[in-house]
Amino acid sequence: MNGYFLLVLHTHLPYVNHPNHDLYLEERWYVEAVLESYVPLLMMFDRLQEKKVPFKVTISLSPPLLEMFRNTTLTEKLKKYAEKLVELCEKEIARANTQQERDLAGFYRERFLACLNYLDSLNGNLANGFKKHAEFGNVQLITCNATHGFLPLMRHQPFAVDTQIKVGVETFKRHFGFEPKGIWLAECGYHSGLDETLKKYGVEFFFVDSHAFWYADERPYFDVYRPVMTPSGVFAFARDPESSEQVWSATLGYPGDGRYREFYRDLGFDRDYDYIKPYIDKSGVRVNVGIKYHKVTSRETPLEKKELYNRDEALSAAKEHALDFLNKKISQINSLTDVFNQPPVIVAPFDTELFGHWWFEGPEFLENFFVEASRYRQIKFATPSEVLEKFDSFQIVTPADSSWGNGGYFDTWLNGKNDWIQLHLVEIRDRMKRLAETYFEEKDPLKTRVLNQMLRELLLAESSDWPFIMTTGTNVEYAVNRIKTHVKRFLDLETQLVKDNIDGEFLARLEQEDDVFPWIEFRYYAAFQTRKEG
Amino acid sequence: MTCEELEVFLSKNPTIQEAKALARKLGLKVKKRMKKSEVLKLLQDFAKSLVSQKKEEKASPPQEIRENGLPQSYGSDRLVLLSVNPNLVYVYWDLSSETLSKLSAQKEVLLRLYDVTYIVFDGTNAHRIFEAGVHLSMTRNYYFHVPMANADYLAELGFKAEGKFVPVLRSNVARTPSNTPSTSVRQRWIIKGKRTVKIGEPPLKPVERIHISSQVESGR
Repeated sequence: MNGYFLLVLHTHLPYVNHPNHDLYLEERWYVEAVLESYVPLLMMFDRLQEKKVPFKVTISLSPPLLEMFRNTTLTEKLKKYAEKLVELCEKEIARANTQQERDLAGFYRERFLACLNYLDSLNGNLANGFKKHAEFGNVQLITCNATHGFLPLMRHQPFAVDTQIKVGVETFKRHFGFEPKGIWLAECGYHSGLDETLKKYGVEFFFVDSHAFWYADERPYFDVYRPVMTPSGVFAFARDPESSEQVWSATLGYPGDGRYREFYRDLGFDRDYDYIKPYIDKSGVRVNVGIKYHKVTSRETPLEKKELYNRDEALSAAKEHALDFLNKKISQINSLTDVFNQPPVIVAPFDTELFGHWWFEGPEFLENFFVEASRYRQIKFATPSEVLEKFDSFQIVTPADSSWGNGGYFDTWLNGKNDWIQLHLVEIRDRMKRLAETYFEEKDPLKTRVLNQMLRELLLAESSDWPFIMTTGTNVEYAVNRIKTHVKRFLDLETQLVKDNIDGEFLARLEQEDDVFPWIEFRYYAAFQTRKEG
Repeated sequence: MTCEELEVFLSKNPTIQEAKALARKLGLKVKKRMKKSEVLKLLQDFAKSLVSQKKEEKASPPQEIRENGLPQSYGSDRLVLLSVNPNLVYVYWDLSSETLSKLSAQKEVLLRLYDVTYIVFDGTNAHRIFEAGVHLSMTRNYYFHVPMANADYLAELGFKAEGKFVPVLRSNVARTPSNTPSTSVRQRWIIKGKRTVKIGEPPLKPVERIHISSQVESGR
């Protein structure tokens, strides 16, 4: 008897696009994620495939991220950034005092060059890299709701939820040419009834946090270790609480090992200001540049006392930890099989950026995990669609309202620090609905463009990242500004539309800056449209 | 005194004594140790409040009153209730100028939260009622701690007149998330190629009303 293991990587960044500026501070989120996580993971998949190692990974790519992949201005910035880093590495090689430092600078130089080559091989669009592995069948790609809006807080405006799902499915189709079978709901945010909307758009499965099963309307016979079917016929997979704890716990997790690279000690802060200035933010603010020479050493070691990083040592740690994790999974499978007398399904979802960005050796950990696991029969990797094929019976359960945020409910996205945004979001959604109905038959191309742009602004304002950032307290000003900007743009466009006084230049500028979903239709927002399709 | 008159007064660079006298006359709180600039600021703020009042009276589009570029109100007459977690709900309101003046004229403005789990609410039959006094000039939202997870709540904003609550705005219904395993022992299964199979007790019909007299609760 054996068990199934589903690795799920949720890949999302908010849409950050400032085409009229040099690399914007927040655009660094994107370039860092690409260079440190997405490309290394894709390269790792390539290696596994070459070695014919069996692996299966479920990857959600959020619509904003897919839109960033195809944004050529952003891709150019990314390339320039990587080229600057290669230049910095060359300076570093020249200034190095010891062989060890020289080796490290050389290691980074090669790494950035390899990334640049890899991007070129994909014609600059990372979606091509993911699609390739989806076609081989090792990766199941799934979508995410439109702008990663937190759906449980929109449930009283069902047309808003509907549009988030519709646009999520549509974006995926446009980028990949096939329908997504599954969805990662932003922040695992689920509320009862959402399954009906998913059903309507052909989504077959989604993911929830463990307590969505534990507190469901009826007790799940297999705990979280088997997908359930919701009353509308959509399948839900629940997170295994152990896997994430083992990998990512702040106290017990693997990334804290002394041999791994230290995230917080970075050249951007270490070097003389004049020397590093061309490589940090334009404003002169020091930021991480992604070149880090030190290892964790120990949790207690202060940053300035950290020892130099040793790549070989770090890679052997990644191997040890992969073996340890594998053993834990096998014994978990064995004991669950004893309890249920049936094969369990273990679902381990993570934010993709954990692997590579936060935990530099994360991709190598996963690689070792798959390589080592191929020697055991007890653990089988599968995609959600494959799991649904494997079993003949499913329990019918309505999962409980929940999220994977702090506390397990909606607190992170609704609290004293961010509740002010509700007034605006609720209002502009209602206005969008009214206008979509009023102008449903509108033929004038300029007015149609205004209405479509209003829907883009609305969706961008809905991103769960902004209230999240306000709660956690870093980059708050940017998050507040983004919400205000999109709401204000929405209201300004509305005034121009209603007064029939459209400023074409203004509109064109917004279309260039907030250029997500170029194919979008404001009519999605008409309530009767929603009813008609449903 | 109109806003314009006040502005004319301020533009004449009054002495601190003149400014203080006027401020007192207008009913503003003037402290003995206040500097001239502070008194003038007080008067300027008062002038500004007159402007915004006037705008609302004219029922001009409320979005013209902007703070940091966004409207403070859309005049939408809306009460929105959102659940935060099993024991917390959030309610905010956005009032039209008519509703605002109607409520502001009342002595006791109240926000009520009703537990309407499993009932069709008719205004009087809630299982329980939670009440909070509201100062409309200071508060625009409220968090209620609620005792029951997996329960339906509904809010009303209104006032008390002659001991009776008069609702002015009603919110949507919000359900709090569950935080305990279900007590149901029922299991439903779908087996490929077969119908749904039920195991365990048959489901109970939902309770129409929990046996608490809402008459007593609402004090009627």
